[in-house]
Amino acid sequence: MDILSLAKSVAGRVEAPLTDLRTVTKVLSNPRMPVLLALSKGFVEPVYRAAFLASAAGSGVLAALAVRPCDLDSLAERLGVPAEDRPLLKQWLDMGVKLGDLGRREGCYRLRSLPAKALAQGGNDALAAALEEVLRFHVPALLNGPRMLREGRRFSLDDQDGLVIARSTRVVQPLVEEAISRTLDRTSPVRLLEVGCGSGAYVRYAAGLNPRLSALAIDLQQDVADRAAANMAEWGLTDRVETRQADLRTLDVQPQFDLLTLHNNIYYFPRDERVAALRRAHDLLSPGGKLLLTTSCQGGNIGLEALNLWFGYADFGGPLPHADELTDQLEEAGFRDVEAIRLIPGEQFHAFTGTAKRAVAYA
Amino acid sequence: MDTHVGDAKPPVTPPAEPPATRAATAPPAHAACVVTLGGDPGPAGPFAGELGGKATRLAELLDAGLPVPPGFCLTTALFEAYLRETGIAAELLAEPSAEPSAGAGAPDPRTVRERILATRMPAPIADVVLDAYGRLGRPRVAVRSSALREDSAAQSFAGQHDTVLDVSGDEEVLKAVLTCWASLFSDRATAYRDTDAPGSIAVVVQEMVHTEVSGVAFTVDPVSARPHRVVVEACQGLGEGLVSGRVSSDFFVVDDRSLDVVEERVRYKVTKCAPLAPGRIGMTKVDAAARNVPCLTHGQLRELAALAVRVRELYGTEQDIEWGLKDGEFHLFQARPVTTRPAAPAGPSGGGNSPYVTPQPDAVRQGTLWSRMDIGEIFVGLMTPLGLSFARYYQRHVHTDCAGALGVRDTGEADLHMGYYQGHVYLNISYSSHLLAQCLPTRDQRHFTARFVSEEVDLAEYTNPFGTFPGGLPDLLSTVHWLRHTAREMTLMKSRSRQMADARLYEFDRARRLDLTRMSRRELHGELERDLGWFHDMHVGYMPYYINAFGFYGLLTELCARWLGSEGDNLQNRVKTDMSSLRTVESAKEVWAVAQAARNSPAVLRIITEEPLESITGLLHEDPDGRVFWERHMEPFLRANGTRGHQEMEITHPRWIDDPSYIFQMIRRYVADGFSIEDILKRSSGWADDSREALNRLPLPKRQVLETVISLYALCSELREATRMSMITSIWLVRNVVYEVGRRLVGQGVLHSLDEVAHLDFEDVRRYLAGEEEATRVFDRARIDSARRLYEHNKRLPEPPLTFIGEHDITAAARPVTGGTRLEGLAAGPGRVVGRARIVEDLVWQADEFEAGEILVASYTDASWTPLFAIAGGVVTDIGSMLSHSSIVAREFNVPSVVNTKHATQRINTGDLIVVDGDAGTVEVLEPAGTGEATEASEVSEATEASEVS
Repeated sequence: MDILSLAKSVAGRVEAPLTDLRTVTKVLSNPRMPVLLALSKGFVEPVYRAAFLASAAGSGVLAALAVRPCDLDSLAERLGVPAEDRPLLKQWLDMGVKLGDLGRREGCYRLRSLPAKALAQGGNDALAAALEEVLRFHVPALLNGPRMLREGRRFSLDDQDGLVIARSTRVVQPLVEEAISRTLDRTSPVRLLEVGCGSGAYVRYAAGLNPRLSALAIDLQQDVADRAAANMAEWGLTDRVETRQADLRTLDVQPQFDLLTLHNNIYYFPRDERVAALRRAHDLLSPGGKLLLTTSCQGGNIGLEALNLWFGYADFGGPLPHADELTDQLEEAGFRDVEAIRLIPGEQFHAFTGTAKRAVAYA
Repeated sequence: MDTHVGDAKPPVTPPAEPPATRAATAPPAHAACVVTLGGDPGPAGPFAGELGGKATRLAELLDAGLPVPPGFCLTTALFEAYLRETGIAAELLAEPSAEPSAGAGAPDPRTVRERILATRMPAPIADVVLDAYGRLGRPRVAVRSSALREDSAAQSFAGQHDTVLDVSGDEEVLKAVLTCWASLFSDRATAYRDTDAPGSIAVVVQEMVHTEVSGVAFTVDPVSARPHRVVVEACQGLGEGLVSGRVSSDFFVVDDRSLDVVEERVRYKVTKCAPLAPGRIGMTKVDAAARNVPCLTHGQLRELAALAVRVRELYGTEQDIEWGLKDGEFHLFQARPVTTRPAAPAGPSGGGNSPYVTPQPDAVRQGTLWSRMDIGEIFVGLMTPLGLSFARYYQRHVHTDCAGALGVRDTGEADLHMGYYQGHVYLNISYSSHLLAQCLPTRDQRHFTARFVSEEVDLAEYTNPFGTFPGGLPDLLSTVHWLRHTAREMTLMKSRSRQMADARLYEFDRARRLDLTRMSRRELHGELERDLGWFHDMHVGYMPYYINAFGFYGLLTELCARWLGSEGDNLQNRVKTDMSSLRTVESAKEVWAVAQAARNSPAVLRIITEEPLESITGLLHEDPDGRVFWERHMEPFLRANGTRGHQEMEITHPRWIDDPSYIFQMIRRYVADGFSIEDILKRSSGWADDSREALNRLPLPKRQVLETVISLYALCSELREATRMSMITSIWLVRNVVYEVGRRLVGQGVLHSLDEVAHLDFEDVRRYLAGEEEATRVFDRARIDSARRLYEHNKRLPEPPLTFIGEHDITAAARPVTGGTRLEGLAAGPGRVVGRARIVEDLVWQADEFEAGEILVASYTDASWTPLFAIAGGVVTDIGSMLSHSSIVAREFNVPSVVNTKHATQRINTGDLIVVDGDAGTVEVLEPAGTGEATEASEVSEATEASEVS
């Protein structure tokens, strides 16, 4: 039994009859004990809970329990857990009961804690994904930083689960949508190119705002693009939106776009490649066409700093941009009338807009 | 070998044994594979292989004693011998049965074609060909393919294999034969082949006759199918011009019993297809003297009809005969059974005597007032199947929204608003006025209807079959709606015009950067839908300016008449609003500015004035000064004006930017005359004195009202011109996509040439882009052919009336009187002028003939003619109204003008000395052409005007 568990079991037993007062006194008199208790309550348990909830949300356990309480067998069946592994699943679920996020009555598991109930709601999927992102990407960056440096290891694109990122970036969805609705022409026929379309939610949003919009949506990762294409089909947008895997830097299409959007992905481009990428974006726009780029910039909350750290340790992409720096880069790439708008005062989430050069008109 | 029973007719005397048997035996001697047509040993004698459809028929015609130029045929066996001896046959046999589409081992037709073109004829084969050529006397010859399946009754394969015209010399003849052989594997031959096996091909080498007049003769009217009518179409020069649809032709009908000419329609023929130099066939101008006279005399027509009847008797079926006339002798080049005869032409392209597109109750069908006057010059005139189907698209998807833009609450049914009669687009005036009664100014339907009155219709008897708009609540709602809409329109009209102008430049720049050839079918589909969306918006945005200018002008006329009496006569014409910013006028100034720039650069000037029109653009781009000129002057000019053209709703017409020939012609004209356009424009500023005085005599309140109306009219006209460019540009965008589809179809062999785009249905183009269907399925060959025939049919009918009630029977309509020297029309531009008339039929080909001060006589004009107005002494048109662009611009340039004379282009000849009275609205011929010394001056540099037929 390690010392942490000991401390925990002691703390859990305060109301129990003091059978072994001597032992207790001895333990409590240990000067490290308050630190241990603080660690346990303040750090460890939240980490456990966060991990459990992220996993429960991502695997669909929360969603299942949100409908009605379920027994072990029906949950196992739903999650596709083989019969011989059911005891292990039970063990995992019971952990959730211990952490207080699940409850168990008459052999049925149910949602118990507020966060569990909140994350179980479909509308909060983005939050669940953000939590998953924190645990799967931010935490490893913090945990492994020095070791990775020593071993010369870097994160690669494969370390990122594109689907999780696609879901999690929707935490800023209301902000991005606000930026889109400010920029998008609602009435004329608009041809949109969305670079890094993720789930395709923003293209859908834009298509909803302007019924005459048609789009090409691309994503660098094949699985993300496939999922986006499936979403488009589900949303009935296949006729208007073509979705495919492609890289902005090598995309070979005619400069037909009136609007080009880059939402939450400029940091996938290394800093010194951003101007070239933006120039490419510029050249895919028709003369006078518009760019809308949304991104969090440096100087924001701790979560953004962690994300920034992750990209710092990745072998692709680069740090979050500084707002001024990105403005300059946009201008260097050929954009005119570049503007950076902070959508919420105090937040580092920015919407950048710029206009592609018009044709030279003489006389 | 394929079985072609019934396809390739055996020669008159059937050969001793069927060809198939012989082909299976030992290879025949090469000499047996060459057959002298109609000679000895002719097809009656022993020969190997087959002649193919064309050669068989020519031989039969010759045997029957009909005048066919001498020639010989290289049978299919010679082609097969060639394939065998060069080893190409073995390559073809490598995977003989594999589907070409399956890829893999099957030889690609393209490769086979290239192989043939690159493989010299083995000497023994070449020897027999040249032997026969020698026996023919080594003249200039035409080398034509004679395919086995061609001329089958079921499917017209016409034009799917190659023809090489006007070749001479051994080398050239051998090359031409190879070209014909290779065409068996051409894209267009493969696209429509039912089976995958290409079969075989024969070749006819025939003496080339440089005909002065050519054409086709049908032993039965191919469209209307009335009996006893031999229909003859005749054009100047070679028949290829007629086939390509690029030249205009005369039309005759001869009764096959009496051989009397019963119908005759002579058109003004500007261009012809003719040898430009030995071996070079291309387009050139028709001599001025031959332009307005019939191609054939009645005696010649009798002779031709008699020949046609003989051909029909020979075959016992109706025939379609290609003929030519040289030195008074007729020659027959081809005879085919008439394959396509549309049963009952229906839909927008023609058919029926009512313009309605859907069935209507008798009272409505017979009582509707139709007009094509003032429905925008973009629609005026005969339209191609593509143009009509595009108009139909407009009707279905755009027109009712345009009505909505006028403040009409109930915009009615799209199908009722417009109609089609003999290839012309009509506006349903009855229905429109019924709906427009919802707007206060046109509450009284007569206010709208009266604009379309002409002496052709008697409105005394007319009552609107749709009745008055229902009163009570709907009426009240509509009035409230109109008031709110109009108040909004008044506040928005200036800003919307600016937005439309900005949007136009944006769309133009965007389109200029796109390379449509590199776009996927799906992307093109997106482009077309986008352009159509924009087309919708620009039309809807434009309509209020158009109708408001119309409305204020009407008000002005009425007030002038009421308050000024006789002094107010034509005041509205004399009202010189400052319209120097009118875009149409501006375009003339800008052409002038470009001409000045060209004049300042000797290199540029030399290219534009001395090189053939079609090479100018390329040469300018190759020349350093030319490039500067292009970038500094042409490009901005084209950005401002390039999407203009004539009759812009007709998608087939190239815009200035697509074909700048007209611009170059105008530059030549302006440069040659060396006059200043400012002189002309200066005349147009300020008030005409007497009308100003008349206005001054009015009491102040009335004067103020009148001045307000005048200024509003001016404002609306100005905004109308500005926004019209946006609308025109939207059509250009649609055109670009349609022609890109056309180019792909030509590439795939679905169309023979880009000219055939004119015969497509716009809905088919949309359907093709929207889906993944095979082009050959979407674009049905039989439908394309019948659309073409119907168009040709409509083309040779007389112009239907501008306005009529109910139904119209063109065949029963009275013919215009041919005598008489006085024409009455609408006075459109004030003043009186005497000058020599010049009929301009084809703006591009004739722009450089026009002499400053001459009187422009045209069937109608539109904005693209403006640069000519700037130098015209007067303008006379067959159709038009006070508010036609031509009238507005004529007034602006202070050019006396009479429009709507109906028959001016038929009754007036180029060179006639005429007087145009722009106040009274009359035109009189003072002295017919030829009595003075005017006309012949223009035919200076015909050789340099020639342009190659592709």
